[in-house]
Amino acid sequence: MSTALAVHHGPFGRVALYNLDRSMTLHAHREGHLIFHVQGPPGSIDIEGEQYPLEPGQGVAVSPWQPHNYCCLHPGKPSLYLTLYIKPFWFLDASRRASASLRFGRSPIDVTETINRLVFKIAGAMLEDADDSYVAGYLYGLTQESFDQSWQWIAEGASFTRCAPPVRDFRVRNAIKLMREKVSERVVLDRIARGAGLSRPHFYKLFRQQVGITPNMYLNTLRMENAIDRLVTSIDPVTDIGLDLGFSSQASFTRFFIANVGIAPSDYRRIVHFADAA
Amino acid sequence: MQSRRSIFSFTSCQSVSRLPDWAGGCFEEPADGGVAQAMSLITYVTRIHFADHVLEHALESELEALGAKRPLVLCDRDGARDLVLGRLTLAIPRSVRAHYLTLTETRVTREACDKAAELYREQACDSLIAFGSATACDLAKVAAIRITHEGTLCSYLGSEGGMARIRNVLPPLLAIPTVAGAGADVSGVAMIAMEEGPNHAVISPHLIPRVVICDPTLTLDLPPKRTASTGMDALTHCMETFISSAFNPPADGMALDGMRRAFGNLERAVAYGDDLEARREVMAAGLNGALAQQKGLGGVHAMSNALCGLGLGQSDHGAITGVLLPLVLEFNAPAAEARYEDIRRELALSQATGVGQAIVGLRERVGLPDCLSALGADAATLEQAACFAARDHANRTNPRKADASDYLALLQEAL
Repeated sequence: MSTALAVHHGPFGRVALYNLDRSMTLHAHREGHLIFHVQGPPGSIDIEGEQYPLEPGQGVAVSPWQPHNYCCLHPGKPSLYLTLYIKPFWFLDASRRASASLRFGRSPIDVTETINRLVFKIAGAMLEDADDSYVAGYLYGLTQESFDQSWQWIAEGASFTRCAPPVRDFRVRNAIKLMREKVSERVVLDRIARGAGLSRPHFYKLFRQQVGITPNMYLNTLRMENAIDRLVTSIDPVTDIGLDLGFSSQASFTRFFIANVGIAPSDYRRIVHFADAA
Repeated sequence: MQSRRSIFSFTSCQSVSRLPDWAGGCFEEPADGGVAQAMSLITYVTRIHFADHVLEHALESELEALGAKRPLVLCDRDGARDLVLGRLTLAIPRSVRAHYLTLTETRVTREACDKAAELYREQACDSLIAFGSATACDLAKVAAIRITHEGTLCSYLGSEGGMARIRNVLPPLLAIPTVAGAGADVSGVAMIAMEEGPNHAVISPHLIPRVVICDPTLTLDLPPKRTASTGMDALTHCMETFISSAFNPPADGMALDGMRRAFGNLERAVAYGDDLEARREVMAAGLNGALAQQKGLGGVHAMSNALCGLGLGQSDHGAITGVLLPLVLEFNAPAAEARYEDIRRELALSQATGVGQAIVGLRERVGLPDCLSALGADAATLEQAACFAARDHANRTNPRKADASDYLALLQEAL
């Protein structure tokens, strides 16, 4: 059973120490995502069909909206990861790139001495409940260090991540708007497609073309965000939150949450800590 | 905007805040205000006077505007030259009571910082004036934190996540450079030497001096050796920022303009110290390089910061950069070659002349050393220096990813 040792929410986004002993499902976030191995057997991340190792010395960066999933290589044996979900706007000033504010140049991140130190500083500060400004300051340093590295040229190949096209089609924009409005209802994608004036196959094709992920995955992201938000800001029972998001039972909601976030919703609520605005 | 008698008094505030993301912005929620930092991708906010003899004209009105009645003047060896310090003393209006502290060392230590903070409190000062080169400016910035912030200096270091903890409560700081290549006057970074190990950076947008007074006549008596090394430093700032991996178009423009001014005039400023036009050009290059630096530096500064932390070249940072720059340009060529073409065009180099080659030529003409051993470096320290360099924040924006072994090879070649 995967567990969390600590989860902090703050102006930066989210940061978590997850002990993962099972694989997760394919998903995406709007945040910039960084994952570092802290202890336990190595794992790997699948990003758009490519495998990247998560082990001592090797971290992984996932750009906003890049579909990815965690692959547990030794089921049942937990590995501890420091996992960052950084809000692009918080990081904006340091990104120093003309492209998306938090799109990484490359997925693999070499854990340099500096990065290693920051990872352990953050993990330590989260577990010890240190002053929040420390966590925020170190997070900033770690994100910047990783971001800049991902854009440096390396001899093994300078292949930077491709630039996904902007969403230009107004029908897809409309569909995104509809999904956002209806996330707390039982959303049927057929109806969304119709609402956007498209047939179901055409809608799927166009959405993937323009957004880079499937409408289902997009909807899942919205559900995940909504679920996290309600878990940490309300006292509504987990069952209600699941039902409101269109799940038929608490069990199916919990399964969804574990597959997408890593741990159970009740655990998440219990462990989350709010960092003060630094 | 007050514009007294300066050629220009430049207060610009540009900020490219939210660039569209690949989703064309349609995924973005409205700004949630969750921004911990006051900076943005591109930030130019410093008020700068730049003119011959502007010191006497600008100082009085700027002190008045800052409400400074009791400034603490922090000098380093470049500000303590009789001629320039005399001018400053006379330029301070009679209604203002200034206190002075001169730093004899060439790098900022914790002791110097404590001493400055103590004097500031003792004399009930209300503002800081940094007079000299980057050392004076760094001291003023670190002292400003010491004066207004509780706890150890350590917890405010950039490497300790200190940026988030430096608040906007610092006393006003006015910077007056007396060398051409100073970079600290317009930046929010200060370097400090802790007991052991490399120099540490303190970083915060609140550290940026409120006003800078650039008066080229303050550099007329700068000795040729210092002129050459500070000028080479200015040129290095321009070149490193121009090829750095970040995105900042205004910085690129300034860097190109700065490198042309430095390249074309440094030799003259060194040979004929009283050539005011050459001095003005080199100081302009220094200012350009300093403003452009926010884009990020690279390997030359990663290594020179490291060497400085190990005690080498505290007195001659510029000379070190002159040795390292051609080597780093060569190392970075696979990643940045396209940009070298722009540099060649800006410096009007012939097709046959490489950028590194041109730097080597200039270095010879201004009498700067061509190897680190001439500056007192010793082979035994290089390994340590290479490790520090890999960790230095300037390494992050070097266009080609470099680790400690790359830096060791470069340092050995430079020895």
